[in-house]
Amino acid sequence: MYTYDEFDHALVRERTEQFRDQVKRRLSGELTEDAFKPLRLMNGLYLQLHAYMLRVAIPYGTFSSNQLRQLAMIARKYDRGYGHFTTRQNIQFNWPKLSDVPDILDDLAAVEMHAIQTSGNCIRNVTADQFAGVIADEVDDSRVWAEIVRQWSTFHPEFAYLPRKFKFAFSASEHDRAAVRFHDIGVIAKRNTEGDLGFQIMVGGGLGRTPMIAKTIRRFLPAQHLLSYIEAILRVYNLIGRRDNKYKARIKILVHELGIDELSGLVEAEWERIRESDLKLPDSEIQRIRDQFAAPEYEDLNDDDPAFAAHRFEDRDFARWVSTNVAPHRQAGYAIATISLKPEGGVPGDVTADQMDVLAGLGDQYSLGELRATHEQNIVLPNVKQTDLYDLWLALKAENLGTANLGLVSDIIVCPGMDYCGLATARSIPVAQRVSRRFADLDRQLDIGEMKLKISGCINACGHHHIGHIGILGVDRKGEEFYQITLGGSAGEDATVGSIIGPALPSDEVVDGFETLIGTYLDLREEGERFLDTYRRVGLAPFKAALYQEKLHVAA
Amino acid sequence: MTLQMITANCLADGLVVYQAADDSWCSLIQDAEVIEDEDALQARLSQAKAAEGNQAVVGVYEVEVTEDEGCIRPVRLRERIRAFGPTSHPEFGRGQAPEDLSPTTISG
Repeated sequence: MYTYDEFDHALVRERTEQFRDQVKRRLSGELTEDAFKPLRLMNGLYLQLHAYMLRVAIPYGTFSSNQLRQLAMIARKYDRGYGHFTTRQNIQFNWPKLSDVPDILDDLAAVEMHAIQTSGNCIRNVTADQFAGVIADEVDDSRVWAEIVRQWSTFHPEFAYLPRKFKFAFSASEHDRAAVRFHDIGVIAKRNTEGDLGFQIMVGGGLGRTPMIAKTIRRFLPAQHLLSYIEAILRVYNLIGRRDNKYKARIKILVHELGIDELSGLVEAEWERIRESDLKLPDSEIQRIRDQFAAPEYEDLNDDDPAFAAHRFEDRDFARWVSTNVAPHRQAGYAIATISLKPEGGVPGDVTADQMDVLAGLGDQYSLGELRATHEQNIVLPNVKQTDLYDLWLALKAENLGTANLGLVSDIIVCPGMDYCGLATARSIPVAQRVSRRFADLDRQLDIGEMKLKISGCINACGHHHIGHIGILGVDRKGEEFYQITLGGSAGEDATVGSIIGPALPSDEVVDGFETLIGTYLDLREEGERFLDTYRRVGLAPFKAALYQEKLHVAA
Repeated sequence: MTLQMITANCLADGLVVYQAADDSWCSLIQDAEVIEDEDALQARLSQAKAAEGNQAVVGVYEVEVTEDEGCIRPVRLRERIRAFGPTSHPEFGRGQAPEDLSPTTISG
């Protein structure tokens, strides 16, 4: 894992001291709220419906047991005993006092964490494939490159006041686990025919009120040019991106209005000017960062440990958890375990301070002290010996963290919605809780198969509803909560924006409606099909007919 | 005029507060002043804005409420959630939440 050097430490400490002084001046009246608001946002501090909310970055989703223990301490000491993992590999605290925030930032800095650039019109926390460095299919460890971009983008003076926020995501392989096609810049690790490392660079993806799939601006960028090329993109965007209308200010609108070819021409021209500058990454610097992510000292083990096989044979629930929540590790004898933060009826992404301590302990005991946060609001233990999986699962089960539902109906992405968020138009968490209870039977979920349900409480789409196999968007209709349903979205390499099925449903009908859609799929599916496959084969019509109880007319 | 109340968030801790008749800020909507006419609303709003200048509160605005047999309830759902707490975390609720905010009211 990356360890701060003296520059990182100094930078974070300095920022914390600055903010301490700013808070003091705000509380004394020297600073007005208008003057203070942009300053607090630069430090990840929002004022939400009930209280302040502090968003803490977990760069590229990688963190240590020690860091998680500190987050538990913060949740207990300054908050109400829990935190909430978000869809961008951040953790949010929902109840901090303004007067405590400088101390919280100090406590974060002590474990090499911060809330810098988790808000505002700047380059936000850089996200990445949660399996980077451990998954068998990876081209290269995206943490290395995400860390290089984190260093480049932190307090980059030219890009502190962009037209709008700017989000990077990195994929370690062709198989996209990081929704890179729905980020302002998506970076996919590749090798060319000579075997050299480079990246496919995609630009202009995003969700919100104008969902768009990123377009490829460069098919193969040699790795040493990563910073010069993305700086060229950012510079062009910063200069000509729209600032007259915040709804048209993201780079996706620029890509749409200019066209990818014209934008590419401008970027390439700027890149020609700077490609041989200091931004060109020397091999020594790449290696220096890569060394920080060197593989831990794995034991020399074999796959198919007999005890592991025996436990799977003897304990059906364990076997099910392994089949849904465990992914193959690139090191023989090891596994990647994803811990679901979606227990039956729970709040997706919520973790209590006690659970954080347990997870930190399990990270130390079974995963060489390392954890990952996923954009799907779960936690990963990336380095578990196969022979330890059973004990790990028993320990998780005891803490209500052993739910075997990864990728199934109840593994729902959900934004905080109107229970917390000042922007929301409807609640989203209670809908997820109701779906989770309705589909509590895991056998039923397994039978349904892969289902990505994503729920947002407003058009800003923090709950990624556009790219759910089924998406639910909460809207306000004359003061009542209604829910608009979209079908057929996908966040992965087959990126698709879902289609709206029809008129929104009232709150008390939305779970029934969802169940009708699932029932329709089960009636229509052919051997081996997931919901998404069936939907792509038959289209919207039969689902629409079933949902709105029209007669289905099949052409003769 | 419809019934109104004045609300804000406390600057120091961010929590939701309402203006009481004695100019103090209270956390329970039942303890807040119900304002019944436009002139009084404007006068109370300017007093509340002054409190913003004194670093007591932030983000002052008025909320439409109804009163039924002494039970005060904001008209908009957003304001009901602000008044009674997140429905997804009833353990952090404040005051007696109306039935439509109970997470168990709508069956799963």
